[in-house]
Amino acid sequence: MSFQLSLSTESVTAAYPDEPLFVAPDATVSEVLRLLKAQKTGHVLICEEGRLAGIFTERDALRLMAAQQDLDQPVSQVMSRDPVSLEEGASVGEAISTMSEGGYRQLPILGPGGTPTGLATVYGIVHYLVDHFPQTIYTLPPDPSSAPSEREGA
Amino acid sequence: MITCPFCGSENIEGSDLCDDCQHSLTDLSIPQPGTSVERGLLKDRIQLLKLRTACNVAPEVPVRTVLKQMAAESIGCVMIVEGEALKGIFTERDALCRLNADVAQFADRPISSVMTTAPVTLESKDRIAFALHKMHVGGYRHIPIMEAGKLVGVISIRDILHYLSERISAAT
Repeated sequence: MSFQLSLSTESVTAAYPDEPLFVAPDATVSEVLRLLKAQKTGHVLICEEGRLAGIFTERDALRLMAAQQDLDQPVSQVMSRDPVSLEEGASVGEAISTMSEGGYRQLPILGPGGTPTGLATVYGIVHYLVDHFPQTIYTLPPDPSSAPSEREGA
Repeated sequence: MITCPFCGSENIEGSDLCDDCQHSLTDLSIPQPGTSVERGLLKDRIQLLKLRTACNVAPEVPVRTVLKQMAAESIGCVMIVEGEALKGIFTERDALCRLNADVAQFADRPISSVMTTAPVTLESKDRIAFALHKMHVGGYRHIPIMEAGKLVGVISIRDILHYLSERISAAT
């Protein structure tokens, strides 16, 4: 029924990584923003010749919006270059510690040859953890104060 | 199949009474926390996590000012508070979905025109399991925490992840 949860042996690819969304380095920031909205996601990867060159996230978008910067500049000017990433063989525990040390919410997962194959996210890892105790989480009433004190009919 | 804990005979799933000895089987269907992590989730209260101080703004503050403040302080969400009442929440995702590339048009409007109204909140005495439930099912990154109708702080999904990973490493 339940299986032993071990953060150090389970691969990060089991923790529901997002499909990576790619854009070319010369795409403009406003194109990228529209793409993010349409795809309902908060991060794109920027690739050059099949290799990961940078990442552009919601936080970068917020900074640009706040500074009222030109949104027609290419995304390669404003992306975070050479982001911290994980190898495919990395464990869930490594992903969690890298995220909490660096304050990252998503980490690209690099396959052989440095091509991104996925994106480990906080949501995915939480989903993976909840999978290990579904009864505790999914059976909760929607409102904490509405839990009945007695069994029905008792 | 449920095995009766009293006489050991097998009953069909969902039976209230054991066919053989007529003992009640209803207690067997109550979920029991199996691991120490589950017990902790159901026992620990949200106040055990270190609440982050929420960044409060008034509803009439212009979008431009709020964006600047969020970027300067590197925070992902602000609470829109009028008096002591929580009116709404404005997050990075709202900025991305509502302002997007047309941010210049919205810059002088009040933040209340683009906030998310009536956000899901929890009390600081609620169990952590509820916070995890709300965040996971609703896909939220932040939940405002109230105490007697007053906003006292905010917890983020990273606080929960930190809590969980600590508990799981301690348990194994």
